[in-house]
Amino acid sequence: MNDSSPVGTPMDETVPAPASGDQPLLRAERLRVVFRVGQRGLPAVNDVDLTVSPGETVGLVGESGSGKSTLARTLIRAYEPTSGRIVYDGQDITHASEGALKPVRRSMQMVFQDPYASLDARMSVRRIIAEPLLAHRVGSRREIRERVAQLLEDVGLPPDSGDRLPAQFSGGQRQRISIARALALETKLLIADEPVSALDVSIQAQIVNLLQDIQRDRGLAYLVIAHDLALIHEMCDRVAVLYLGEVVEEGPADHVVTNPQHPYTAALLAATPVPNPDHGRERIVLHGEPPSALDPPSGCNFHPRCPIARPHCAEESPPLAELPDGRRAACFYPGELTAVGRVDGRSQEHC
Amino acid sequence: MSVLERRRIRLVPQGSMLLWLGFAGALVMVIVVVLGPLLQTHDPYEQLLTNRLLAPGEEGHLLGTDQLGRDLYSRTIEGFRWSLGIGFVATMIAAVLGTLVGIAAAMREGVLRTVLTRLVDMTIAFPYLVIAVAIIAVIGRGFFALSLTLGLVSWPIFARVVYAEALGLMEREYILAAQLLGVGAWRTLFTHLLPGLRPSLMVMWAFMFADLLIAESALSFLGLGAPLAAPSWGNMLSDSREYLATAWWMLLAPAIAIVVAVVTANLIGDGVAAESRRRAAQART
Amino acid sequence: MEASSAAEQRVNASDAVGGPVLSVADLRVTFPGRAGRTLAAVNGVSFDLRRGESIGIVGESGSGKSMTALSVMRLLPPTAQVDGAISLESEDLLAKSDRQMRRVRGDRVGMVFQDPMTGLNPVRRIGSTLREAIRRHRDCTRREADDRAEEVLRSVGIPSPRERLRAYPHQLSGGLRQRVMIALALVNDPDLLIADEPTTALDSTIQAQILDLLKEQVTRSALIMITHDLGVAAELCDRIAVMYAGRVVEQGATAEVLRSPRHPYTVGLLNAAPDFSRRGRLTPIPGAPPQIGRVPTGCPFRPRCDRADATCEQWPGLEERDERLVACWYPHG
Repeated sequence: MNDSSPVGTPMDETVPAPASGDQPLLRAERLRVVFRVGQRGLPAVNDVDLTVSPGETVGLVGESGSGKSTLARTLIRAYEPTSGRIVYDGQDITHASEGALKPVRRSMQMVFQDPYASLDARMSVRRIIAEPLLAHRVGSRREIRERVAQLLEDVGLPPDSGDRLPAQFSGGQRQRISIARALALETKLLIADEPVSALDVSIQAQIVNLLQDIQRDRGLAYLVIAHDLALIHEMCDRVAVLYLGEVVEEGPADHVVTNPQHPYTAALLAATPVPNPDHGRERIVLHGEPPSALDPPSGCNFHPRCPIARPHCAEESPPLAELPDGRRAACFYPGELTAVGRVDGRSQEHC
Repeated sequence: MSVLERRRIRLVPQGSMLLWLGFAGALVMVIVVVLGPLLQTHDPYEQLLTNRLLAPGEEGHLLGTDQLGRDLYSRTIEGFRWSLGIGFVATMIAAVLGTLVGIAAAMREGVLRTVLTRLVDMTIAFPYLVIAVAIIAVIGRGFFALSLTLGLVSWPIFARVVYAEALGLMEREYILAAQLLGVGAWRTLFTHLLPGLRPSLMVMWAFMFADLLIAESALSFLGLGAPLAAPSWGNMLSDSREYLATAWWMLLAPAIAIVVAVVTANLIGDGVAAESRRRAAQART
Repeated sequence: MEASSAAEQRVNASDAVGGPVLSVADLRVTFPGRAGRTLAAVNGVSFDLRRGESIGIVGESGSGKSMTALSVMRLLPPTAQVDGAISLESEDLLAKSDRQMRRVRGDRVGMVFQDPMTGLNPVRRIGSTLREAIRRHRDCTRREADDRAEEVLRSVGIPSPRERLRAYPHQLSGGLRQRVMIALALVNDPDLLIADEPTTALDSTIQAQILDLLKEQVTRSALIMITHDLGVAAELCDRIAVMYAGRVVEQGATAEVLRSPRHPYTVGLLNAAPDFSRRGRLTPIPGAPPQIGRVPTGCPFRPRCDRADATCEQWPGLEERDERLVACWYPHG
């Protein structure tokens, strides 16, 4: 990313938080995560700034390889960042040890995509939900029992679920178990990594509504990772669009999703199938596939696939600059793709 | 959803019958070990050179006598205590040591992992007879020396399997979920990792036990095992070698005992493996 | 380009082309269950498909959509009992021997799966897999087969196809692998292409490429698209059949079904999905789809349906009205 980009400027000045003038609950600054692949470094997350305020829902959207899951897992410190800073609830947790993170883990929780893999199949549902309580030594046996019963009710599971094994539940119900576990302690921030994409369509809305009800009742902040723009649009206040480990567009979800300014967001929107025959949306078919982060292109990361790329896009990388409506986009020609209408990408074979 | 999965689910719980047969065999062996002396008709150590090499049935010796006139039936019964005992203790040593090393290497990335995996490789590469000779040189022949020898040469096999399996489990999302909930390493070990390893440990335990029974015989046969007079099955086989033409019965009892014990352990190993596969398939539906 | 206009044009065009390529009539697939019971995975599915036409079979897990596709290919597990009629170009597929079916598969019917690796041998080069597929059904030289393989790779938009023939599947990205799978399915110019969730594992920008590719190809053959995503069916299919618990509950022209869904399940699916046009509370369908073996009698959707009453304990039958098949006692509209 370019040095002249406004990264490092405090984001709470540029982005209106939905709550009052609260400090952000979570703040990432110039976060970089580099994985080692043999002798080389794979920058999975590159100079990302992000904030989540109390009670706010922030979306991370992107395709596989965009770094959205890595970013989320780094924020919750499943990984240690290579550089940058993570501040959670006023505490710098960038390089905190697992011991120092223990109090943080009481209030920052995660719900995973796969409701099968994220629950230990050998444990009863009661033990699964009680696990965080036991780990943090919260409450007596009886209190834990009561708390689990309450949590089961809160997430809409039958009271007798506690004695059963995960295998006896459907995918949607398992995701409810996962959510109950994440709510067992005094949760303030819930990170949901593709929380509904593994579920049947008719079940997805149940889980989305459950998450929204819980947020309303408990005032939680959410960080939602998804590939589905429609879901982001439904759930989020703000969204950051990631491409090859970098934020390419960021702003209020309603603006970004319905009126994208970065050509990649526009293409992503155009590629989302909608079951509405009268939708009448332009088709932007991107050619080729995202490049490897091991071997990123020169200039703007998106230029090899971009339908509106100019020669100098290959030389210079555009800063994540603020646009008049308050959002930010990393493009020299923001808004052009939606403005010019249907772009025939066929002249741009970049496979 | 896919055809393939459907087929896997329909897997017949084959082996559950055999597993019960294995358990029955194990129960019988435990009874023989516990009741040992009560089942014996003679003192298994008592030598009576006038009764050398009696055929089965002669002079009240059910299975005959050996070259020193010892009752073969009583020695075989006593051999259950020796051979199964050595097998059990040796397998325990291997299992505990191997599991500790395997789990430690899997849970702690970095120097510890490198050191432990190298240690495992080295131990496997080391000829086990050399280890046996070294131990015997230090503490002499005997029950404990033999158990220790066998345990010390076979723990790396446990360690390797446990390491690989635990590494796979550590990558499971529910382990990550536990970590992110603030569940500490020890708690993760006891609530997630060890229960997850249990089926493999049981299977490996059974197969290792069978292998070590045979190894005990082999070492005794080479004169590196149980003390000369001890009625271990390996010793009995070793004794029978010279009299094969004249006193074939000396071979029979210990050989059958070894085969039965090994088959029983294998039945249990196979049965537990089949059962855990079946459960895993069930959990997937 | 609007999906609706394209779909309507293709419906009109296909009316002119002769008899159906594929005809499925009252297909039933059952499995033996416990205690002598039979479990119906597919229950009374019927449709005709002409050349250039595409039908989307839409449903959730356990709806029987994949089983329907597999029965056409005769790839069901041996315990499955298949009843009804499936005919390809008026030939009865259910009467064919396994040997005869092997000649049909990969030649007259091509298939694309969700995971391209299931159809590609990881230790064989792409070219060798394609060449084998060609020479199994065509009498031609190795050179001719190579030329055909290159041609078909080019036609599915794979850059520098000649070099790619020498690549192994793992050397290609997921999107390219799925293109190779489509090439493999198309290599013998099949009459029918069956695509089972071909884009589910792919990113949305790659999904859009693959859907465009399938759209191009469908003009030469007929297409059955199995998907859980009504949006994908809307992009690609002239008609859709919505399946629930082994039954088709609604079937008709895609644009019509999506514009004015009649079955409460179709209505529910459309309401449950987040839509860019509105924000606010979603309307989920309560409960979960039944597991096979626990399907309620009568209308299988009735426990989750807000319109259901005692009448629904009887299966309403798939009735036709205004060129739409709907199985409901109390349809919308």
